[in-house]
Amino acid sequence: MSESAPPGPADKAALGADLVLPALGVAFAGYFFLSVQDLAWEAKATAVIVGAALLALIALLVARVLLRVAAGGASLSLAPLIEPRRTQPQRLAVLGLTGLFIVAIPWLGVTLGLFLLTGALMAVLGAGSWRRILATSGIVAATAYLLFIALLDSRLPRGPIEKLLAATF
Amino acid sequence: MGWDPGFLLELVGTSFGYWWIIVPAVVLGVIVGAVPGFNAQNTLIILLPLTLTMAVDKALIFMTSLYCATHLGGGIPAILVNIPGTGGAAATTLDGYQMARKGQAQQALVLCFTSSVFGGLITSIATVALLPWLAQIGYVVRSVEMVVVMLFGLTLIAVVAAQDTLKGLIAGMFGLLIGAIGTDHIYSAPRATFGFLELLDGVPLVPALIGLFAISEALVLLDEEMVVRREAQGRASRANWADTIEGLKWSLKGWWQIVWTGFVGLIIGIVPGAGASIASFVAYQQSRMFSKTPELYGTGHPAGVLAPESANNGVTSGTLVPLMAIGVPGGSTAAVMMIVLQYHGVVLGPRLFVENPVLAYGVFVSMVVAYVFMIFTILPLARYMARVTLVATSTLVPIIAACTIVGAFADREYLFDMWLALAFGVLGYLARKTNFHVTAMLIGIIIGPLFEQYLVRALRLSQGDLGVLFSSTLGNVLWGFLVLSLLLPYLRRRRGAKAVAEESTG
Repeated sequence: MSESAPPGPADKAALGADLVLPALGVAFAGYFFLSVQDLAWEAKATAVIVGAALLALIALLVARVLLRVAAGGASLSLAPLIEPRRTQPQRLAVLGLTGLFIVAIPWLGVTLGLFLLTGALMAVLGAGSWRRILATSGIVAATAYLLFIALLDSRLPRGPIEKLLAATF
Repeated sequence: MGWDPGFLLELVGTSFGYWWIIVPAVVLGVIVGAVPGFNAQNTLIILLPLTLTMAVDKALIFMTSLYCATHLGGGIPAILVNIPGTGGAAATTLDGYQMARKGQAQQALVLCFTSSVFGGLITSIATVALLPWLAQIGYVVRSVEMVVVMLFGLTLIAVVAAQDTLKGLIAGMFGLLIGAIGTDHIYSAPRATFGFLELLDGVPLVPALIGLFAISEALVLLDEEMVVRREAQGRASRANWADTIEGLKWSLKGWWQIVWTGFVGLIIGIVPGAGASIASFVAYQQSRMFSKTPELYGTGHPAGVLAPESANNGVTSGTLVPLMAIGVPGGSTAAVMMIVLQYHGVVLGPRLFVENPVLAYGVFVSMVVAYVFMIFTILPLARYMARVTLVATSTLVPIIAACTIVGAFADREYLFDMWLALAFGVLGYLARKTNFHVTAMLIGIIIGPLFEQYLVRALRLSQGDLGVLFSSTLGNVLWGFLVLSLLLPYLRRRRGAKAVAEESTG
């Protein structure tokens, strides 16, 4: 490529992804402003000062991105967030299985819940043989039981394993 | 009571006699410090039934030893998997994790341990000697100065941690706004709670820390084979005792860095509310500013581990100074300690040093002894801990996700907090992938409630006049530093670009 040639689509910086978090910031600041509009000034001082500063900084960033796009040096592609595509299903599986764990932990208890979550995640991510998956899940669950239940006596949900162990010892 | 070396030596001897309390407390402290979600504060709350039944001197030795050890433990996951065990270890991720990626996890851990121990040791000794004078610092800083200190800290983080200052500032301000969720301090009116009762007290820090660092890191790690880069895997797998020795040599070479950044931590720790998370970043930034090789910071530079870890541990003695000297806890852990001391009928404040000098000075002497025990307990383990970086991500990611999501429950014991950690995980993932630094966001969330408290206090005193923020000499000096810290990197970059342009034309 010659020095004077305009950058091709592959050479352009993908700056569309840079606007996702600022968009969330604008939405959140807007919601914050709405939630404090009827309150006394003491209750909304922080929201107004910090929210205004946040919006001003976001405006600067948007202007910077748009200027670069207009100059042809960048695109509004979301590539940094969606590439590499091969790991996206795994990422969704991690989030989905963790969500399922939170829903089920009141019934399963922390020990069995962690055993199943670790095992399921390892299986989905292709961590190797079943023996290895079972051993790792078992160690995680046993460590969590010893630290959180036996040693620190935290109020994490108790399920069949905890009840069985409490009845045995 | 004046400076009496004989009395202090006797205290040191007595503290060594309590090794059977200190060693278990150190081991427990390192473990809970390394588990995101657990920290000295919530562990001490869980262990209140134990400490309340102990004799007051033994309880105090146990609590201070555990407290110091958690500050050291927080650096371990920060280096190995880019997840700070505590907020104070967030700055350690900048260079510690980069060293691990280069196959130098063992050296980074040794740097972390030695700087933590010697930073803590030196500042504890200094505190014993300078206690009456140090206690005065807390009086000088008022609400106006605190507002500027916090904004200064946030700006430093944006400038230091983020590759792009504008993005760093946006992340910090976003965090500050998230930190303002919940009821306000004057009228208890709910703000931006999305209708969740669980958010009335504000955004809990532990799920935010776990989500922004642990869950998001797990999601990012899926793109990698393991923590160590492919080209460094051979070196990391051959790690041996020589690497520990090398880490010790690097620590020895940076002894002066450990000393002065430890004092940065001590002074910031004395200011109530400022805390380890700000201290470690200020130390990191100062260390980079005075370095002959500032460009190496952020790429896996040993000094980038020494500075924040030493400051992080300098804070431990600092936060106890206002507690012992004026009866005002310098942080949340100090507040838990105050509860135990008051339960035992100990009246904190200046008279404590006259009426019960053994207890008053004993706190800091037991810190010295705990740090001595710590180095011998933890240093030999660096070699084995470093192996974590060689675990395949298909195994590491499930372990991180499973263990840390449970940690999100630990602080307030709400299932809601696990969902919150998951939500922050997605937010952190978006931030990491687009180079909005999650550390700036986390620090914003941490200081958000305190920032609001001091801001509203200052504004109420001035009847709503924003000019009050520029009304104090100390505050104005800090404003000056804040502006300088924003301008200096820009000017330095511009000068560099100009020099390059002159070279190419000349």
